[in-house]
Amino acid sequence: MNRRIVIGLFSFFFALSSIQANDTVFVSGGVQHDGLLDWTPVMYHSNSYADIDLHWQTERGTFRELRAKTRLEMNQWPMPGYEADFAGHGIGHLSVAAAFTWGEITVGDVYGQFGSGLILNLYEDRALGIDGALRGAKIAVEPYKGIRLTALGGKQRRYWDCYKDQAWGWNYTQNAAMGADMEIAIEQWSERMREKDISLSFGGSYVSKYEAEDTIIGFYVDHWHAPGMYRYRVPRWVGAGDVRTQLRVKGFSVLAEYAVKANDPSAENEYNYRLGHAALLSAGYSQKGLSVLVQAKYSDNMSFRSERQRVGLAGRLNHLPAFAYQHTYALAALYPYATQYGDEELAFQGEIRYTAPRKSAFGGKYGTTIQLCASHVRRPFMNEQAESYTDVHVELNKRLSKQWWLNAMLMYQAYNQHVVEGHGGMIRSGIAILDARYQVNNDIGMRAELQYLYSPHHEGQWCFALYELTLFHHWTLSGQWMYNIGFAPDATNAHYYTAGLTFNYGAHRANIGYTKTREGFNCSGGICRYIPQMKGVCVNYSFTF
Amino acid sequence: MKKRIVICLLMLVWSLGMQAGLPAVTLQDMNGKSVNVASLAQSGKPIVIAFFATWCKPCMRELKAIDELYADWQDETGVTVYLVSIDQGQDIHKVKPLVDGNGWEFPVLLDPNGTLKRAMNVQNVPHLFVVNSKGEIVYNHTGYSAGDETEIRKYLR
Repeated sequence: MNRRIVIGLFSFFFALSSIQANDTVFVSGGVQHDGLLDWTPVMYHSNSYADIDLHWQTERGTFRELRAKTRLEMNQWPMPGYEADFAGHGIGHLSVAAAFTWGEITVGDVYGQFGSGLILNLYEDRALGIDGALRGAKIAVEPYKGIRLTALGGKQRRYWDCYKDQAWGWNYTQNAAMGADMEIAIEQWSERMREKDISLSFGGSYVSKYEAEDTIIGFYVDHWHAPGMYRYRVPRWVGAGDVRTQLRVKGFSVLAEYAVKANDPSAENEYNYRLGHAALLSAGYSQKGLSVLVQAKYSDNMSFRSERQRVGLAGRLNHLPAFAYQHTYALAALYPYATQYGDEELAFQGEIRYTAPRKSAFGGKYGTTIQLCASHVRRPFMNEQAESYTDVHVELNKRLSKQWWLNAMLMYQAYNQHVVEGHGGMIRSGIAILDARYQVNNDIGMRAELQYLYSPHHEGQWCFALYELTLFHHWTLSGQWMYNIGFAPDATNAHYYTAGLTFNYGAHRANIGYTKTREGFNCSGGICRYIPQMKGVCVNYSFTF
Repeated sequence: MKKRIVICLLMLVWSLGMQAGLPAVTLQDMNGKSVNVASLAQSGKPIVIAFFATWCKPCMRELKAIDELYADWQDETGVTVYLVSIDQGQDIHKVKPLVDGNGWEFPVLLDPNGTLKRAMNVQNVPHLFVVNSKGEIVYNHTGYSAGDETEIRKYLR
């Protein structure tokens, strides 16, 4: 392996040595460090990443750019809440991409998404410790106007394996995954459609994974109550297909997508042999200042992984983001929903957004935006336990004067804790949020949030307050406090708080503070991971160049 | 051969001092049309690339603030602000309603798989890059605090 890497790097440098005067060569990259100093017991947890990219841009024939990327990861003692095998260090990513006018070829660690990601979405999300790259190759080409073809294949990354004979710290599954996708944009062939602002596209993809058969034993009790066991016959190859179409006529847009997955008994679906299905329908209309969107999704048994025995965040080939609004206000995000991959799920979402123009009756001097959003996730049967999640919220955003901005939100939320976390029951809550910003002058700005949550079903009432003071564009002092008001029988009376100082200068961002946060789910992009309660001095630094 | 290696290493050291530009990554706009990001910088006028997500509140604050100044910036410098959405899965269909619903007139590129995000080493949103009229990245900034938009204006030339 090392020899191949050395040869690869050497070839890259060899290519670089033929650079001409009008070519451009530059290095870009980034550094990220998140740390927590905990003193019970004394321990410094940290996640650190350093990315370096080398770009060579040229114009020779159809060739445009050669891009080499590497990433060093230092996560020996990671921040709390990550999966056990997340800890490790080494070069987490290495790839070389060549871009042409007709497409791009990438060798090394590759990412990709087909359609809406129902059968393939390989991505990186550091906040959650996800890196679904395939070590292999990817080619994306546009052989003819309006036709896009993508093919990729390789072995999927699975955290680290520093302690075995792996000099670079990589750990990959021994299984292969590969796929191809085609998208046709019809309007590219019809000038009349383009003139009338109509576009129509069709797409299809197929993904297959290979895993050697392993011994998985099931147990049963027969009619005479005698225990017995059997061995599952698991398929080595599992395929999945996806078809989709999208039509846009001026402001209207409709998308329909359907995916099916072959028999794929896995730990996540409790070794059942049913086919997996997913369907997505999205319809919207928008014009300047007004938009309406309605979406529906059905998914059943759509867990698609490169390893059948793996559960948790690593080793997923597809990605179904939660069909619910991702909130960033603290109390609105107290009970976040995450897609249940192994189960049957039916979900609906809708939103209306209207911006009243400046100097109108409702818009006032600076304009006003109002939006109403709703989402509902359920299992497709009718009883009290069927509802998994509901969220209805209305939000108003208004600039009141030259110095004042206001954002207000009212929300109703129902969260089935049993479905998401495996314990508890339905938690219904009402939430009110006020977010105001005041710009004193060009150098001093401040922002404050007040939030209140009431739930008769779990821990009663919560309140939250935040204050941020920004000085001279570079310094931000912030403090936030969250308190569980102790009137309900199961109220905890717990206080959680964070106070910190952030220094921001161009691409540098440094933050130091003291934090005590609540245990719960940290969600990003609709996937959630459990974070234990943590307390200590937090340090963050990031820089991009 | 050794000479070539030495040349390569010298090139590498020299390239560290070179001003970074935009990578030749191809993304789709909201109408499904392919756009090569490197070609955006060839207009001879400054551009801004603003990474955002539909769920990101600081991004909304930043984009609203830029929107209020955009007409003036365009008159003064001819700048175009491109938004790059990092929304995933079905959420990419929320981008057009969000942009239109807010009445913004920025061109938008979709980066659902994070291809441009990785190529430009963006770790968190909002993250914004200013590219000058020569195609060089002269300023990049992560996060948004009230008043940051005035800093951007200084680099638009």
